[in-house]
Amino acid sequence: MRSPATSSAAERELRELRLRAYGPHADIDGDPVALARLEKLEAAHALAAHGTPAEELPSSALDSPPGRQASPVALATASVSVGDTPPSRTRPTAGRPRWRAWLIAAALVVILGLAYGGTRLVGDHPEATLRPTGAEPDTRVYRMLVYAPDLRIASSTLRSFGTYRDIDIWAADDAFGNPCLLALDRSVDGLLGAECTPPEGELTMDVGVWPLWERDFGADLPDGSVIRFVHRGDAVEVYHFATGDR
Amino acid sequence: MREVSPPEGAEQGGGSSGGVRRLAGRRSTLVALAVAAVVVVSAVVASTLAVALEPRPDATLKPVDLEPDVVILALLAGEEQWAAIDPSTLRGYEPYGDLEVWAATNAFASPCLIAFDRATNDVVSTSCVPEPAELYIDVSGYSMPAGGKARFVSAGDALDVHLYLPEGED
Repeated sequence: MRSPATSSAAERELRELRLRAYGPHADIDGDPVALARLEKLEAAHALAAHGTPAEELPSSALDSPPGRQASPVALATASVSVGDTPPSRTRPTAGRPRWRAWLIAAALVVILGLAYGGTRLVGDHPEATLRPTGAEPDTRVYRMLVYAPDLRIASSTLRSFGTYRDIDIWAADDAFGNPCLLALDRSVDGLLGAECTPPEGELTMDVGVWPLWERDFGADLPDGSVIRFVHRGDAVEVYHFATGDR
Repeated sequence: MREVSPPEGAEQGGGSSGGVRRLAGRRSTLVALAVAAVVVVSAVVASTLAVALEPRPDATLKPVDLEPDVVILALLAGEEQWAAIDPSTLRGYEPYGDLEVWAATNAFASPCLIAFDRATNDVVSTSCVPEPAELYIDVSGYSMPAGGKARFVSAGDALDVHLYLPEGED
């Protein structure tokens, strides 16, 4: 049985906890024990307000001072005493600070991910990514260097990136240490493109689908389209810019 | 199932299990607003950083009122006819050293850039690329150190010029 003194002390405690929860200097969020205690007192208060005899209230719910855990039995009793109220309707606030911290951490991770990948998501995506094949250059490849004497490409540095739409793609270095890209059309033994760019610039090479050019590549692309090869790291990314796309 | 009604004093003092729920709702809203604010601020900071970290051009060429002469027109109709440039669309830019740079549109509605050497009457570089590709032309030589190049990049009405030097030439 609950004594008037106990009841008065509980009400005083409830007022104090409410002040800590809703007052101008609310700080109960950082004190899970006090928060749990407030919920318990609120539940008991609610039952009392609905005419539940005080004798039926779990005394442990009112008597446990803040900072001390009620026994598991008392907690179970209190839970049953508030009827069918699901525990989840009152318990979440106790774990909120941790939940909020996780939410903020997750949000930061998402933001960082978006910031990192944003440009890639928004930007164009390559049609293909070519990797070094390890194939050795043959005489036809060496011969195409004749068509680009100004570039002073070091033939010993030629590396194959395979074939894309019947276009042989090769990377190399020039005499100045700049990375280079070369495109060879074997069907006509022609050099479709050759570019060397100092490392501070992006190395790109465009191959156009020009109706006046004798060629075998790009038959499925509209005239005037451009296939752009971009050297990035140890890969060559391929982009299509077709006429009539916009 | 029995409903738990708001306790006495909920209205007067604002404290109750309903008040706890309202507090939880208010806190959730605040957290959501805070997250949204962080996202917006991050996006603004990221875009600002992206602009700030973008390489600055070494020069910018503005358009000028210049009429193409017969030499350029002949070149476009001759050795450069593969690009199908429409001569009526030619627009000139401020000169860059000995180079004249022209913008135009070709028969496939792609924007083009043409670098022309007035001293030798040669077209040094031509590029036509459908939008939305970045349109640029690269030029080597012309007071650039060996192995270096100047890249002329279309930037709205103007042309940005970026100079790329081989390593060790800085």
